[in-house]
Amino acid sequence: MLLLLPFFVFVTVLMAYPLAYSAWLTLNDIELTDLKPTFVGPDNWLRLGSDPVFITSATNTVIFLLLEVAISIPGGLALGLLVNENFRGRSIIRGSLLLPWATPPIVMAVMFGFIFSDQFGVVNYMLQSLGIASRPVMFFASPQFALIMLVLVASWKNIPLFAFIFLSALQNIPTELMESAKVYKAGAFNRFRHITFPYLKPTMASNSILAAILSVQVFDVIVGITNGGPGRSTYTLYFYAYLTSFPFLHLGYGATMAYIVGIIAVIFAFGVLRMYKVD
Amino acid sequence: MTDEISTGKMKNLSEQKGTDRRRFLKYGAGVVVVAAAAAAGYYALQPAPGPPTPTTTAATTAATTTAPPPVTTAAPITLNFMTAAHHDFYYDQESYKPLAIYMQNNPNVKLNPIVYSFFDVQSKMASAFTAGIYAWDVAYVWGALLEQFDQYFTPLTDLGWSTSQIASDIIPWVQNAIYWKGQFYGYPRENEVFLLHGNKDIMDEKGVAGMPKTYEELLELCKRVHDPDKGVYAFGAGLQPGYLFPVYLCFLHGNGGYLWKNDSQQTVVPDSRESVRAVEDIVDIYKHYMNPGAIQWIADVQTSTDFLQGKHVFDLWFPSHNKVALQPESAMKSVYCDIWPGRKGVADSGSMVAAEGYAIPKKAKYPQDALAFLKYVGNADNQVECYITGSWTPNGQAPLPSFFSDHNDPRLINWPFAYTVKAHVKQQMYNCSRYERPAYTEITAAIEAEVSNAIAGTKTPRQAMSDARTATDKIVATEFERFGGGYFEPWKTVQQDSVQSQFKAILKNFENVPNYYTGK
Repeated sequence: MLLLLPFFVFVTVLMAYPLAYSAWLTLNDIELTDLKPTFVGPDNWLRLGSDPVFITSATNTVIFLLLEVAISIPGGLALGLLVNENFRGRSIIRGSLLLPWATPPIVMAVMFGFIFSDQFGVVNYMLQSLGIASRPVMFFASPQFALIMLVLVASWKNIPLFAFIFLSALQNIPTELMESAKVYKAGAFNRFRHITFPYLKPTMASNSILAAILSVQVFDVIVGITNGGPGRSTYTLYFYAYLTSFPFLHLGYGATMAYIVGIIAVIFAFGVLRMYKVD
Repeated sequence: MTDEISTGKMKNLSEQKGTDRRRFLKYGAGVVVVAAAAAAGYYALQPAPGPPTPTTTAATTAATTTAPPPVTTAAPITLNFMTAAHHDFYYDQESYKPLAIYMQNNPNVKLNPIVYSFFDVQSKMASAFTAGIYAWDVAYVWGALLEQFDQYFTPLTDLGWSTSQIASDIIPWVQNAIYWKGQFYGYPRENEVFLLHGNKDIMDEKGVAGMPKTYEELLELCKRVHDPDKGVYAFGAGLQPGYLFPVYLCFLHGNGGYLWKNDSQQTVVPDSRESVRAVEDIVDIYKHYMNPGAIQWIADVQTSTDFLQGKHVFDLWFPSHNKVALQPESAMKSVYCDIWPGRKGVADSGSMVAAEGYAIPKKAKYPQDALAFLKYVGNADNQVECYITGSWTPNGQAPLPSFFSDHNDPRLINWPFAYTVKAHVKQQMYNCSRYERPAYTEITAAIEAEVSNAIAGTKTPRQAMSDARTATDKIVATEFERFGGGYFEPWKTVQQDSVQSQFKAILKNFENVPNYYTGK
């Protein structure tokens, strides 16, 4: 029992207490300037429904999450299948998969800011050189596309991570099964459908949940590239919760939004587990 | 393997681990005891911390103070000096090193600059102040920060310093940074306004003889110099949210607008006729004369770079990049600097001021020494030297002195780049209010998002500013509950005849200075 004590201390101090404290914050009007709480009951929760910025941010968060999962899970799987094959330079490719994940998010944001820059970006240079665009394309200037661009930037970082996880799962598939399937003349698609995919289902589920968590937490990319603009088209809940808690100093209301971020991730996780029928 | 262990050829791993653990614990305990004894001995041999060092710095006036006299007898102290990264003229200057000079003249004082990004200062303050700990002896402030955290700063009168000696000499716009509800909390250091700059090389080429006097003239000149097919846009300004509010204020004031209502809450009125007109103007100039990318540009990064490369002709920004424009690597060799023109028959001009300063937290260990340092920060030598020897990097800032009297300094008047001082002083005679108040950050975010919506075309200017009003009404009501109104706004003071005549008197010093510089 004594051996479990460090674990209990760890969970209590680093998880249970902060969770309980932030839950209490959501029931209080508390400012970061003096930390003197005024109990307001469910007011912060009720206020969410009439806050248009919250509604925009929540909508953007859900869109971001769905797009991110839709892009990075198939992308990760495809890349994982590719690097599972035997080809020259496989080790180098596998090793380089870690590079995007090792890049600090804010560096990545600045890097993509440069790549897509209308002034000196390589993408615009290529588009104009090839005659595809006559003027520079404003990738982050359109309220309709700025969020999608941010999803693509986030996917660049996440796809290799998921590929790596898929790769480790692929390597656990018994080779005998594949070989016997080949003996019975099963095609590549059928092998994937009846052997690979069922084996990958738990990994698929865990990757989807991880993608959801990473999506709702996206922050550096927004700050580094669009700062929430144009308008509020790239506000997400995490970004708005940060603004509310720190620059605006409303800790109670900010904590309430942070809870919503968590709730969205949990709902998505349960949905995924049900879909893949994973315990 | 069991045999090998039993025969002693191989050590039982569990035993080996046990032995190592015992050894580790034994030697580890020894190391801890020795370290504790060494630390106790070290502190025992250190001199006891003395009371706050009495400073021998004479009472100063902003205009006449030279470097403070050396203090050689006092006990050595370290002053933790928290500053913002963009105040690099204090801690990282090539030619003039104010901190080094101060330490040289006060050998007992070691200044320890703690530098945060501008955007981090607020949360650092919130953490340190609400935790009730000592963090800094001198801290960077500006109006909105002071208003939020005033309870954690010491009014200068509490330190026995009568501010009446300096109050009338501080330019009211700058006073805003260190003054709150009848008390001075610090000394000012930053004073900058948005100005209109012109690429004189291109203007000369296009036969444009000078800077516009009205907004209508600016549009006319924009039409003449605009040449996007050759990569030259007429006008440039950073329009990304986070950097958009100052631009909006220049257009608001140029349209004769004022952001606050004259009521008890000082209600914010972004939906006023002038404000809607200002946003219409921004949308119009963006559509016709600006690089479409400006909507995603950060003002002091991309916009300045473009201006220096000759990619746009007129630029709205602080005067920081004027001198850079004249450096060998810059494409632009001659530059205009003048006031932002207002609409004909509506307002002659109007802009936005950035004012910042330094104050003393209540938890400061050495408040009197901190005060002596604040006086140094505010003295004329320091303020003028910082400006004329400033780092002048494209993104760096070298703000103008904060006191009226500093502007009579011959070093400024005879300076080759005195045209920036002239434009700066002239601009401050018009409404440059930044409307700082406790909820400033929240209010500006609400307005910026809606102006950005209008620029992006997702809302009409009227619709956008009506939504901004709905948002700011809620913010202002909450703010009023907490702070009760009465926020200081310098424009009323600036309009007084006595203040206007002080500006006019300074401008006489610069009568013969043109509004441009040519490096050709």
